[in-house]
Amino acid sequence: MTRIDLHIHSGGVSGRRLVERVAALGFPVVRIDPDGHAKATAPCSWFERTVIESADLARALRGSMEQFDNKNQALLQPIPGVYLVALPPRYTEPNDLTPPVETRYAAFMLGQEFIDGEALRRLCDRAQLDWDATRQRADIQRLITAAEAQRLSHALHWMQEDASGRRVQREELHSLSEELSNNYEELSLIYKLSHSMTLNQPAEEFFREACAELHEVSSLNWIGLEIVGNQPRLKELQGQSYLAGRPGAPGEAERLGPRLVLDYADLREPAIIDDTTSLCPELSAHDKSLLIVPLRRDGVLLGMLFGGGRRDGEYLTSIDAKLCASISNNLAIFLENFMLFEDAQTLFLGTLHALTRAIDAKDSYTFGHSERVAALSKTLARAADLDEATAERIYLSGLVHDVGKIGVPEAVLCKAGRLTDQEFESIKMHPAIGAGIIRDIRQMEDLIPGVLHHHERWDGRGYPHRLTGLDIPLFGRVIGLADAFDAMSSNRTYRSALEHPRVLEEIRLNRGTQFDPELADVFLNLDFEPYFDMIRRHRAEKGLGSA
Amino acid sequence: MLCTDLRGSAMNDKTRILICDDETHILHVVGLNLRSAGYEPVLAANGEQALEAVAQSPPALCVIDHQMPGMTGSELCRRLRAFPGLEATPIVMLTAADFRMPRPGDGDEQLSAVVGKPFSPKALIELIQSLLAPSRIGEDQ
Repeated sequence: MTRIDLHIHSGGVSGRRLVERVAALGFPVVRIDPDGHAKATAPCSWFERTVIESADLARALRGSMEQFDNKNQALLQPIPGVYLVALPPRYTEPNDLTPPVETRYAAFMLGQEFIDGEALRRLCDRAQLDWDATRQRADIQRLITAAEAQRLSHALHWMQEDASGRRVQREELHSLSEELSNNYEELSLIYKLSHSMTLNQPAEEFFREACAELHEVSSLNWIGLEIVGNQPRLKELQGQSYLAGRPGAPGEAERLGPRLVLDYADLREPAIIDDTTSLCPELSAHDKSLLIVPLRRDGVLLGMLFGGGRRDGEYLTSIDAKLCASISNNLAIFLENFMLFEDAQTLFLGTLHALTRAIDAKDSYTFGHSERVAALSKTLARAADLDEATAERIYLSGLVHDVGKIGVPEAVLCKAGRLTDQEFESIKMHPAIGAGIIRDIRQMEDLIPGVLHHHERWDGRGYPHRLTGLDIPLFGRVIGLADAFDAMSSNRTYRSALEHPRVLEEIRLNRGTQFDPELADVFLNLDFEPYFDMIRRHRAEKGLGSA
Repeated sequence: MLCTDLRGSAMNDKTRILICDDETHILHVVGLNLRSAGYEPVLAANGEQALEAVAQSPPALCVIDHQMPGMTGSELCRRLRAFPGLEATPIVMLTAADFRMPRPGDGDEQLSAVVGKPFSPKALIELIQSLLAPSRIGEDQ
């Protein structure tokens, strides 16, 4: 099986492997203490052990210890015919990860020269062994020549080089994997942010979450975000600030945002400030350095992302800056989108209001009618526990509910006396004309029910479709109620405004015949003060307009 | 294999987690994070390797990529489920975002969770830890 080896043990495996290989070749591995005393760590014969642990070898080694230190894998011959190939000191015993540096390891080999030499004779004398018998018992098979010892030394050296090469590669792989893992976190965060950017969530929530997530992925102590205060297109976001994590001096971290926006208004690239004592003395006690990343779109500064210190107490690095820079780009795009959305929204609403004024201008008696109906409808929708988005759409539908009156002759709209049947029929056309006008505007499609059905009646005697009860779309029922209320509450060409209690009484009387009874009950309990304020405002505006 | 023998007994006490993905970098990243979290990752680059590894010693949890050449993640899941002792082992499926996927709990795979790529390694480890939390073992019994 080609399983991928991910074991990263500070080289222990490779060093151990080398020892195993030396042993497999039939050579004992010896451990040499600083005083030159050697001990066999791998299995060996009686004869070899005797030589390894002999005082003669210890004495000979004591004088040549420094040779181990400078020349790894050097071939040593402390006694004629005794060969030692130094092994790398730190990687030999996996269970003993940090042996004292003074301890050396070596592969041990014996040559014929030793068997024939003086050294063996001395060894036998000292150990009271029979020289001849000992020579006989020495494993002749395992004796090597000086040239063989040299070749083995080279082979072990190459093996060692390969092993340490692999160790370096493993360490590189480890650090690459770590970096990759961090990149995964970064990528995952950017992906998450760009995904949530497309959702219709409140901007405040987006920024709060973005800061919290960035704080978690980054190694910064804390993260702050300050949105500029001088960009009207950012509307309510202007001057907002967010903070994630725990700055050592929270007050100062909060005050820092507005200052950075002013002091670093010209900053184009992320900056790391390593001396923060003058900028924020209190914070400098907790954070070694400060990161500042400007949020820009088309060169315009929209905000500042900043953060202090690393959780490990170190200085910030370009890697920290890189992560924050890529996130800041997403945040800047979100801010730009926010502005574009607000622009589009402003344009849309402005156009609607202009259209509405155009209708109301046709009939001076109905000045401000559309706006009042829209506002009342929204108030009613909210009071009826409809969600905010629906209430907003009902407001817009209320604004344009009479847009079809553009298609009704002014003579009919403004006629002071009683309408003929034919004239009334032409008035009754306005819901359908209105629906036809906005039908092709995709953003207004959902407003059509309010336009088309605001003259339907609960009992089915309304127009244009004579729908009954809950068959009348919600927008139609809500706007129909507000429309009737405003019509009764204001002067018309054919009559004066009714007193407010009279109007409410009319609505009460007609609940279940003209109006949705449940909605009518909610409506009767509304606070009408804002409505009267509007009436007063519209009267004043109308007065100015005619003057 | 020498390297396997030398892992020592301490390694075998760790919870084994199988991770199968044809993308080597994912194996490395998840392996690294699992190891840092104290698990023993068993890495397989395809379904065959995964089955071979599982036959040697069953893992406590499997992380499997959905789109792999040859045996797909779903196929591998079904075959793992057929192994004695792996009928109820938690399986986490990795998948490219928005790819059509069986939902956790549905179908033969009996997935514990589905994680979309790109994923946060930290979040994946947290998920694995929660799936292996002791209360869950209690439930299984």
